[in-house]
Amino acid sequence: MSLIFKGNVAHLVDQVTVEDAETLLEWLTQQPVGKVNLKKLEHLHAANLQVLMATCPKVTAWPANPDTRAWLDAALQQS
Amino acid sequence: MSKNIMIVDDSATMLMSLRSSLEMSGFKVEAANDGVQAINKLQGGYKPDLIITDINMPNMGGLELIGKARALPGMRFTPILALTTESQQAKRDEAKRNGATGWLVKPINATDLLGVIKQVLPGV
Amino acid sequence: MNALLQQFLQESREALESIGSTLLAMEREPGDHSRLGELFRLVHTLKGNSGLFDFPALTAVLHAAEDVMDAVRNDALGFSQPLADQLLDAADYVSAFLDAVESQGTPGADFQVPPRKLVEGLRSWLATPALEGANSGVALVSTQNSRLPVDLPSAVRDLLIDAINAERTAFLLDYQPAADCFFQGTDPLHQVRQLPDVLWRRIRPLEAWLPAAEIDAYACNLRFEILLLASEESLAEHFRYVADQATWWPITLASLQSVDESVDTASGSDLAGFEPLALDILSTQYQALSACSQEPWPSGQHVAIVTTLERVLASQDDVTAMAAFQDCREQSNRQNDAKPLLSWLSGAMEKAIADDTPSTGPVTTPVQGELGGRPIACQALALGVAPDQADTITPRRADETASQAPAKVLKVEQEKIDRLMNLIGEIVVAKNGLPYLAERAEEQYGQRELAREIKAQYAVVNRIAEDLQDAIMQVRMMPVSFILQRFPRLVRDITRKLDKKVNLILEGEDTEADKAMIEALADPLVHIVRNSLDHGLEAPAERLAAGKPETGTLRIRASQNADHVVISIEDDGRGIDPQKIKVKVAAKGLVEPAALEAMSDQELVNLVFLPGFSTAEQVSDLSGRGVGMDVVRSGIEKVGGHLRLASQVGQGTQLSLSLPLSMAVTQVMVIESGGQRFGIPMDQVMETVRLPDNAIHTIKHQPTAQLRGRTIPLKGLNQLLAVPLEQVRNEDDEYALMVLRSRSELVGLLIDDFYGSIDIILKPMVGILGELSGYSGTAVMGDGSILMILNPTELFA
Repeated sequence: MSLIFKGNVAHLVDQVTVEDAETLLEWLTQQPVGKVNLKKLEHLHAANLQVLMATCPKVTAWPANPDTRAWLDAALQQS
Repeated sequence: MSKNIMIVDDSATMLMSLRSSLEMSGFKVEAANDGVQAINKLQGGYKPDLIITDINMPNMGGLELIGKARALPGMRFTPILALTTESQQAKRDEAKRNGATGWLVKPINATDLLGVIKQVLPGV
Repeated sequence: MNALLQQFLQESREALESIGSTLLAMEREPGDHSRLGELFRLVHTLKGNSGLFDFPALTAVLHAAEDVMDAVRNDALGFSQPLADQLLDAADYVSAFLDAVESQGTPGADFQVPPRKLVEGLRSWLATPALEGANSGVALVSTQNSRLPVDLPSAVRDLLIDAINAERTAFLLDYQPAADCFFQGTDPLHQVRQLPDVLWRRIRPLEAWLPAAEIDAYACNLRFEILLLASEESLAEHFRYVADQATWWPITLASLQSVDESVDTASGSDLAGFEPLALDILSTQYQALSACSQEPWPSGQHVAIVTTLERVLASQDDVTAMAAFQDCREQSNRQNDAKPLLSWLSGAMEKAIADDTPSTGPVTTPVQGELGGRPIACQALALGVAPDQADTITPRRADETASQAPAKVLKVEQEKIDRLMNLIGEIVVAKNGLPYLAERAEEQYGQRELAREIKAQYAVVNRIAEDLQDAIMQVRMMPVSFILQRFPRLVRDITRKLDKKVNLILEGEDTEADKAMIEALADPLVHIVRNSLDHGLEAPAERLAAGKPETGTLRIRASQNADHVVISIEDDGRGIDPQKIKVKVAAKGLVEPAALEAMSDQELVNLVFLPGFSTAEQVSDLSGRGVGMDVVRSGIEKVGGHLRLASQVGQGTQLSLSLPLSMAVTQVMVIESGGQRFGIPMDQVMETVRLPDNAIHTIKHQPTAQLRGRTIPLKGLNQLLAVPLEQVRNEDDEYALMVLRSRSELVGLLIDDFYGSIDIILKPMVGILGELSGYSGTAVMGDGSILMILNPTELFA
């Protein structure tokens, strides 16, 4: 599983595929205080990225992979 | 986990060449001789991570295959590459309209092939 | 030879056969366009495959042939007989090329250089040069101001300056994936993550996000802006699948310094203030229009261009430009000429570019050459003007439409099958040793129980061996089409040479027989067909005079009949005249006149099989070659086949070849004569009888016997084999007699004793022994001894 829900935190792990985007979106719309943990994320399909961008959940941990982190920063860490 | 690639071509020579390149790079390869065979495999539950298909084939050509494969439930987002020759610009455009991700130009060497696959397939 | 090359050779040969037969079919029905697609596909595949190897000469020929076929397929070139000849020549070249590769592993010296004459001959069909190149020389590129983000971090700025000073090329990339791109299998984030040397990136929504509940996760709404160090070629390569969605601008030091300059668009030009995309489209349309300006107005392409121009102009809300465009269009319509429109478009474009250039600002003037942030236009060259090409998916053949999935096919070299075959043959022989063992166990050692167990075990092994045999026979089965498919070409070539008209009909091509049989059939069949074309079928004038249709019919039909495959070759030619045969045979002194007089018409016709006979007045270069029908017959009989000839004067000739489906295993009857054992093929044994000494009557020095009302000539095997012994009689003074069928005659063979029948693997005799007539081969028996197999037909001859 690349998408694991623990309480109100969604863990995005390894490769999150395009098929996961709908699940993620549904979960985030139903959990207004839902958070995401990106610690072990290697790559997520752009569909997931735009779900995160549109719903702006709180990020509890940023990716350990520096390249993944750089791209997520570019999308989510904007003023 | 190695990725599954389906190759579709009516030429056994082309299939053999593709298969050996792909298997050498660690992919699991499934081959089909035409669109009909490919669709049958897909409908039978086989879910490749990538499809590489020739355009001109008997029974069902690549363009039709691409369109039909896209309509299958598990295949909405699967990368599909069309095998074309240099002169087939119109076919490439049509392949894209039918849902292909991109194309490969024959003849393909193993390095180029792997390069393109890396480009369309995350996690390789 | 590596497997890939071998595969290529095999596949190419199959393709060549299909190409040949398709070409011939198209010649017969020139109006039938359904085959064009198939033909193109075959040539196209061949060419594609040839590119896998370093065969420039082969690829050159195939490429030329492919271009010709493409032109024919698109109706740019008509299909004609001279063209078919040229394509067949090309096919012959390819075939010779493959032969060379097969025998030497490489093309060899003769096939290094493309055959200039052949390639040029093919290319000459494409006389009118393609329109490509018409676009060259028109380099209209819209200009674009630097779009460097104003808020670039200073660290990135410094990196950029360092890189540019180190002569790296830097680009600002703007990638706006299409909304439906996910459904084309594209992951834009993955796409950009593959880019090398990214210095800065920003990902924003293309349009503001909708509330969460209304978001469509699968409608892409992203825009990627990226600063990176790369070559322009690598960017073009990277985004080639989404060329319309990505744009990039080179970054120069000057443009870095001018980032803060505010940018104004100059006004006053017809097209000034247009979006860069619109300018790009206009420039493309300009190119397309100049390319087709000579065509009569308004062609389909003209209409498409005008429509596109109109839409673009409408989208730009420029009333003046729209009005000017409409004026020119009217003018073009009135003059039936593209020129007014073309000159307006070119003037307006040039002006727009001239106006746009200074707008990059005074600061950048010193480095104007590399300035102006030229956007690399990625739009397809002819937006909206590419004619819809008809789909070229091959038309299905009626017999292929059956929807069942095709069986998996594994291609195996023949040597491997032959080896398997030999091994199975050895098992068959080895298992035959078990009954001997059982016999010895019982008789020599008194082990009756053990003997029974060995026999039981033998039964099991025997069954498996039989199944194995059966299975390998199935593997060796192949369709007759393997040899029949060469005939259309052969018939065409011969009839052309002879100025005859013949319609060849092939039937039952999917009838199967053992590979060895099929191969044994090939030469005799070619000879028979040549004979029929040469001697049987008449020239058109002669046919018309005889009240027959001008075009003769040659029908080759294959069918399966119990354990035989029957090939019949029928023509509606002049037939064989028994009286002429009689005269000729008499003249040549091949048969005694008295015997000749006693012969029926059918018997006379059969005389064509006599050695030294030839019906034609002169031996032609076609069917002659010193080979007569006698050779054909012995070729067929050698593999256990029969041949039957029938003919009606003035109406035609029918020849039928009957061959066993398989010749791998032969059933023989074991007999004894002169103290030695022999085998006789069971399919020639009509019956075995015990014949009392007094039932033999000698008629004209020939011993005969009356059997079921027929008089049968008798021969002693010892006598035939020149063994100086009498045939042995049993206690009741009876001879052992085998009635054999030899060329539709019955002959009685006197021997010493019969034994049972067994299955053997017949091995032809080789070397000096091979020249011995009277034997068809040898077989190894279970006890290791050798059994000689007799060939009664030769024996009685």
